[in-house]
This record gives sequence, C-alpha cells and structure tokens, in this order.
Amino acid sequence: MKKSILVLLALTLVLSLAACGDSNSSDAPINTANFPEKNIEVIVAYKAGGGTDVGARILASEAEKLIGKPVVIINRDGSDGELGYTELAKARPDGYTIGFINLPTFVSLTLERNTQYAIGDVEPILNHVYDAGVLVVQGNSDFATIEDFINFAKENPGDITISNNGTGASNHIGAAHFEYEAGIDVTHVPFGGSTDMLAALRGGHVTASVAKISEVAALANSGDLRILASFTENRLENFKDVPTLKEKGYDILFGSARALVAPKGTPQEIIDYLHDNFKAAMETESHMEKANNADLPIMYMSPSELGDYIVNEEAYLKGIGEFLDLTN
Amino acid sequence: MDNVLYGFMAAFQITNLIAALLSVGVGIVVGSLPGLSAAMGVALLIPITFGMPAETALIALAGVYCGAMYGGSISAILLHTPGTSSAAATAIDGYPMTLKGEAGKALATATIASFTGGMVSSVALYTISPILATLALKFGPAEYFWLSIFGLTIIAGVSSKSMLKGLISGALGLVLSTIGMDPMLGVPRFIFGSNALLRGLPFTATLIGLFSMSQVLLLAEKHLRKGVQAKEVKDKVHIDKDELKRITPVSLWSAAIGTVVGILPGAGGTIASFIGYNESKRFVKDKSLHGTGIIEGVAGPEAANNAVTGGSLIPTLTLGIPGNSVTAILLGGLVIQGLRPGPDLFTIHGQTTYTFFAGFVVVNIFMLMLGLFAVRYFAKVSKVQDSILIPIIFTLSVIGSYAISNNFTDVYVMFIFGIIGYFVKKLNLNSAAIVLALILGPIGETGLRRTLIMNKGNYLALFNSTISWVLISIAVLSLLTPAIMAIFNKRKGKIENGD
Amino acid sequence: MRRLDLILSLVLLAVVGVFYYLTFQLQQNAMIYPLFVITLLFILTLIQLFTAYFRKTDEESKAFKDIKWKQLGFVLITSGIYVVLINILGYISSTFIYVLVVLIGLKTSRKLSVLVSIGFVVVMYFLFKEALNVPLPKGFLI
Repeated sequence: MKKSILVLLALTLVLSLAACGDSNSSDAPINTANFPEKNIEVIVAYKAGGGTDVGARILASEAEKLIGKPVVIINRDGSDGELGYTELAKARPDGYTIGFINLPTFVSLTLERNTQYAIGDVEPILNHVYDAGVLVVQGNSDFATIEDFINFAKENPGDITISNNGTGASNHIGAAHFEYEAGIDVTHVPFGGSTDMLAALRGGHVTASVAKISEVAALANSGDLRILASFTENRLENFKDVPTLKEKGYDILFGSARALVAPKGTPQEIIDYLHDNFKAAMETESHMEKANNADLPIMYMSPSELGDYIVNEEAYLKGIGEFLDLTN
Repeated sequence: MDNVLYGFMAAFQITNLIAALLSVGVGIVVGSLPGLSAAMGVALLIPITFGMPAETALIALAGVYCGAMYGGSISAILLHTPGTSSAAATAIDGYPMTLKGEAGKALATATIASFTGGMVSSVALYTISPILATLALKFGPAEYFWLSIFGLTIIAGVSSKSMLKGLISGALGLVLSTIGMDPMLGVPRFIFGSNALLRGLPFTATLIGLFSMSQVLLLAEKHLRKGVQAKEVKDKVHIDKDELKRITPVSLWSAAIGTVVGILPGAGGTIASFIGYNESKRFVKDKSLHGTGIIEGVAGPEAANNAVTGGSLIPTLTLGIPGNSVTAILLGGLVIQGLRPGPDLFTIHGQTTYTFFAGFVVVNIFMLMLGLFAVRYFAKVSKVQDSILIPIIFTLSVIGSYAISNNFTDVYVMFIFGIIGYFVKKLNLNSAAIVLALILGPIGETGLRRTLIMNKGNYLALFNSTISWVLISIAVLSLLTPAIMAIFNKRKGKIENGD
Repeated sequence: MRRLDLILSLVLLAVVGVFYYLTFQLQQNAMIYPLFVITLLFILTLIQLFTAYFRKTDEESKAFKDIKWKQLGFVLITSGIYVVLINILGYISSTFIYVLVVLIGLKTSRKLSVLVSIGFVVVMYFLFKEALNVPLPKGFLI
C-alpha cells in the first residue's frame, strides 16, 4: 500500500515538472507577429574562445542591444563543426535558433563524409567575417618576397615545409592549390589546429604556413611573422604592401567566411528582421571597434550574395578535389 | 616595477577580491563534481564576465581555473572518482588514505600542495615568462615525441602491483589511442562505422568511465556500507608540523616540474599530475609505500597540476599560444576584452596584466583558505552511505560525459569503459596506465610522423636538438632508476650484513 | 589468479586479432603505427599467457569471491536502462526515476530515498539549466 502511494507521488511530481518544463511542442504554428518574445539562441559549432566564437559573441552582444531580448551563444563543438551544423539544421525554424557556419568547412564536410546535414538545410541571413588566406614565413626569414619563395621552391623541390591545420582542412587546400598553380613541390606538414601550426612556424620548425589574416595580423605587425602574399582579389586593407597572388599571376582566391544562417523554413519576415538587426549591429562603431581589436575582418554579404557564395564554394571544392592530390 | 605594485593594490580592491573569492569557490565546486571540468567552468563563465572590467574578468577566470584544478582532488580522495582528469593520479594514494580514516589529512595535503603549485607557477609568471615562452616555442615535433616517451616510462612507475600488467595496460591504451582519424593522412582508423569516433575516443568520457563508473560498480558488488567509512574520520588536527616538513620539498619540486609541463601546448594537468606522482617517489625512502596512502603521493600530483595553471598562462599571454583548452578559452576572453597577447600586454596594458597576476596570487591564497576551512565538511562526504553514492556518482558521470561535447555517444563510450574499468580493477590491470597511454600515444605518434615528414623520412632528425637529448636522458634515467636503486639497495644490504 | 590471467590473455588476444584484421584494411601509410602498437600489445600478451600458464604455485584469487552478483547486476542493468531512458523521457525525469529506483532497490529507507531523489533532481535542474546553462538531453517529458 505504501509503495503504491510513493509511486503515485513520484509520477505526479514528474508530470508536474514536465508540465512546467519548456514546451517544445512542434505542432504549434510559428508566430511572426511579436518576434522575438524570448531569447534568441545562436549556435556556434566550435569551442568557446576560438575564432568563430569570439566573432559570434562580439556580434551577438551588439545585436542584443538593438533587439532588446537576450541573444545567447550556445557552443556545440564536435566533429569539426558537424555536430553544431546538424543541430542547427534540425532546429525548429521559428527564428529562435540560428547559428554561425564556417565556409568552406560547412561545405567541405559534406564532400568528405556522410554528414547528417545538407547544405540546403539552412537559409542565409548574412555574412559577418571574411578571413582572407595569406602565406606567411618567419619575420627573420630569408624570403623577402613571394618570388624568392617560389624560386627557392623550384630549385629545391620538397625542401620547403608548409604547416597546415590538418590534412584536407581549409589551409591545406589553400596551400595545395597554390603549390599546383605555382608549379612547385613543397612538403605539407599537418598539425592539429591553427594554433599548433603557427607555433611550429614561430618556433622555426617549418618554413612557411598558409593561415588566415586574423590569426597573423598582430604577429605580422610586430615583426614576428612576414606575410609574403594574400589569396585575395584586392590587396588587404591593413597590409597594402603585400601583393595578392592574383597580381603575381596565380589566380587563387581563398579564405574562410563566417556567416549567420537560420534553419530552412524560417519565415521570410523573421529572416528579414534578423538580417536588418544584425546588419545594423555590424555597422555600429562599438562593434567595428571590438572586431578590429580582435583582428576580425568584417565583410558583409546580403542573403542572396551569401547564398551564391555557398554555391560557389561547393563548386570550387568539388572541382579542386579532381586535380589536387591531398594525400601528400 | 610600478606596474607590479599597482597590480597588487588594484587586486585588493573590493570588486576584485569578491570576484576572486566567488570564482575560486565556484571553481572548487565545479572541479569536485566528477564530470564537470575546468574548461567547462571557465567556458560557462565567459558570458558573465562580459560586463566586467578586464582585470576582474580575468581574475574570475583564473579563480575558476585554479579552483577546479584543486577541486578535482576532493572527489578523487573521498570517492576514488577524480573530479577532473588532472586528479586521476591523486586518487592513487588519496583514496587509500580515506579508507584508513585519514581523509582530512589527505584533503589538507592536497590543499597545501595545490597552493604551493599555484604560487610557484606565479613566481615563474612574474619572473621568467619570456624565457619559458621561448623554451615552449623550441619544442617541435621531435621534442614532443621524446616527451611522450618519457611520459610512457612513468607507466612503469605507476604499476605498483605487476610491471607486466602495467605495461599491458599501457599498450592497450596505445592501441585505443589509434582510434579516430589518422593525424597525418586524415583517413579514419578503427571507427567501427561510427562518425562520433572520428575524433578518437572521447578522452574525458573514457576517463570518467574507467574511474568513476567503475567505482560505482565496485561499490555495488560488495556489502554496502551504511554510514562511516572503514574507520572513523579520526584526525582533528589535520596535518602536523612533521608532515608539513615532508610535503614541502615534494610540493616544491613537483610544482617546478608542473610549471614547465604547463608551458607546453598539448601537455596539461593530467600529464603533469602523473609526473608529479612519479617524482614524489624520490622523497620517500620505502618505495613500496606508494599506493598504500601516503601524503607524498597526494602532494606530488596536486602540486604539479596546480602549477600547470600558472605555467599554461605563460605562452598564452606572451605568445598568444594557449597551453590547453582552458587557456584557449581564456585567450578568447582576453581578445573579446580587446587585449592582445604579446609584449603589449606587459607594457601598454601592463596595469591590467599585473593586476591579473596579483589576482592570480590572491586566488591561490583564497583557495588555500577555503580549502583548509572546508576540509572538515568535505571529509563528511566520506560518511555518505554507499547506496546513495552509487546512483549519484553514476548520474554525474552521465551528465559529465554528455556535457563535454553534447554528444550522447560519449555517454555510451563512458558506459562501456565503466564496465572495462571494473574488470581492469578486478584483474589487476592499471587504469592510470591506460589513461596515460591514451594521452601520450597521439603526442608520440604525431611527433614521430611529423618529424619524418619534415625530414623526408630521416630518423636521425629525432636526435638533432639539445632538448631532444635532454628528454632522452631523462627518459632513460626514469627507466633505469628503479633498477639501479634495486641493485644499489641489494649491495647496501650485503655490506650491512657484513659480506 | 592463474585462471583469471589466462582468460585475460585470451581476451586480449582476441582484441589484438580484431585490430590486426582492421589494420590490414587501411592504406599502406596508415598501417604502420597501428601495426606497431598492436604488435607491442600482442607480444606483451603472449608473455602474460606463458608466464601464467607455466606458473607453478597459484594463490586463489580473491577477485571474484564474495561478490553480491544480484546487487551488482541490479545496479548495472538499471544504470543501462537509465542511459537509454534519458533520450526517451528526458534527463530530469529519467534521473529522478533512476535515483529513486536504485535507492529503494538498495534497501535505503523510503523516506531518505524520496528525499534524496527529489532533492538531487531539483539541484541538478537549477545547477545545469539555470546557473550553468548547460543543455540537458531532451526527451518526451523533461
């Protein structure tokens, strides 16, 4: 008799807890009129403190001021971002869950393996950061210009070592493409991440590295590292002396973008709302200052521009797999 | 010099003191719960620190970091389940002490040793940061390879019962560490068709399984103790003068080692704590006492792992190279506040930085005070009856394994390793050896393969640098010392017996 | 201990076998290191096998004596069910049920069992959801 009372008590407790727990009813229609009525969650598919995370937090804190409701960063790292992207793709498209994607990683993952998300599962909102690729060597390196570098490589095939953040990762692709276009033969040395790859360069263990400008800007300014060339259309804002690979005759554009997207099916009004507010947040002085301090190059892209960019990235990556041998 | 003094004055401001005290408290709690890690605590604190001025934010982050590193020892000692992976070595002698009724002594030792670790590393922070930072950069793939070899020789040291079984455990750990992506080629190895294993076995979940869940099973197989542990918690005065004398040299030496290990990116508290444990044997005449519950065995690992906190800050602040996951997050926190690592931190932002350093010292002092004060309350946990410990530890293990990467597969891995860990214990294998090999395996493998890639397959490249030779010598010594000591003692015995 | 050691050796040999098989499915370069460590384990296991086999004296192993198999099985099985239940019912409800069931099953007093299970779940809820903002596995309930 006592036992059944206890079980009844337990059940009542559980049910009442369930009742006041968060309602995740997936059948309720999505309300666009009073958006937002509660917190907006932004999924960042990488660890706290990392590049994507820092950028996301800076933007989120500005956007929060404009929107009036908390914009909360949720870190969901794992499987090089696949975990976070999948969660974003599967989230309820009501505008309360959005997220950052990294390009090209968002696309390259789908080409490398059977991901649990597809590129079409998300809806572009806007692009935030565009981090250009650059070729860097040590500050006291013998290579003063990109020509020196290429000439040496041609005369000494395989001697130049270029560190990257993992075989098949974006920096490796950039380096391999450069190797192909320049007609040289270098040795790629994979490391576990961009911090490790740059540490190896700074310690003099490798000759060069292909990195993102945000990671090396401060080091280039202090003289620890020297940028030989950038993988961009035009010369970099803060590094006007650095030539682009394009002007030297090597047509390679490479960089990583960090964009804000929503799960597919999010109502257009909500996307527009989010777009307008985040864009305005990006344009505030406070945001630009923080971004500058964190060496994050901001480059806005509209939803349609972003959509095109994603498609182009996919085409690029698919094409490149054909003629680049990434297995060293 | 003025910055240093300014730093101390600023750190003693009320807001900073409160931040230090609260964050250490939070850190200790987070660290002591099996499953919650220092990195998790720091990551969760970051949004809260946004509204704060830079120094306060940094002090708060340091508080959680140091507190958590120490807090892990509490559950390691009382429940044989390390709260953080860096406390795994503390459990080896800590738990037997609890069983002997000396939980208070063990906890007090851990507190004092952790404090020593933090203080020694802060001295390094103030004085030789640039030198240590340069040293950190000099560690390339070849050096990391030899570091892992040295680490692996410690496995022999941790195997008190059977050397062969210890080695088998280590080898098993090495095999398990190959699961995941090949680090050079990017192709999957042994993932048994599960995408979740692409990054390898989830380390913390595996550790939680091997130590915490196996402990749950070990409790469940025997008669459940109702209240008090094996013996009454008998000590009132937790630690006496003689014991303090014993743990001081151990703590100082392990702290120095921990600081150096901390500066190396990729080598963290866990490795340091095992080295610290191994080093503590130097200070005990009768080597067989290790593992039975002696204070040196608790002081060594705890001093080392807390020394990692200060050590890891050095490359983070001077070079912008984070030593481990916690400092990576801290670095993000710095960047968000607009502070760039490098010489600027010590000049332009000198006031902020030195306030931070002073705050780091304050944090350690608070940790000591809080720890010693709370020892008698912590020790009461050992009186909780087994039937309550069993489900509680297990649920914490589950959420702890899940919360790291929000991946439920990690929980399944934890469960499997919990069962494996149970049999490891029963068959006299060695969980600590498995864990050490799991960490060191990848470091050694990547070090070796990178060196070969960089030098076109030339094995001689492994012997090129001074640091490599130093590490090789240390490794050889570490291997031979027990053997030499045995021969030496035998000879000594013969002489004394008038041979 | 001899019998147990022999069984252990055989189990390890089986593990070694599985890994060897899987290794040879990898490409050339990827095989080297795994082969090295698996062979290491193989050799050590063989040494173990032989030393155990030829061991003359044998102390009776106390490892599996006096084990309360029912109790152990109960804890293991309920824990396994709990892990599966979390994704169905949600973390909070499953944890509540699990803690309650285990406590009662291990013969803790009714009052204490209910108190601890409710108290623990409440603390976990506030600690993780509100204070730390750590996501808890969701399910049908909470």
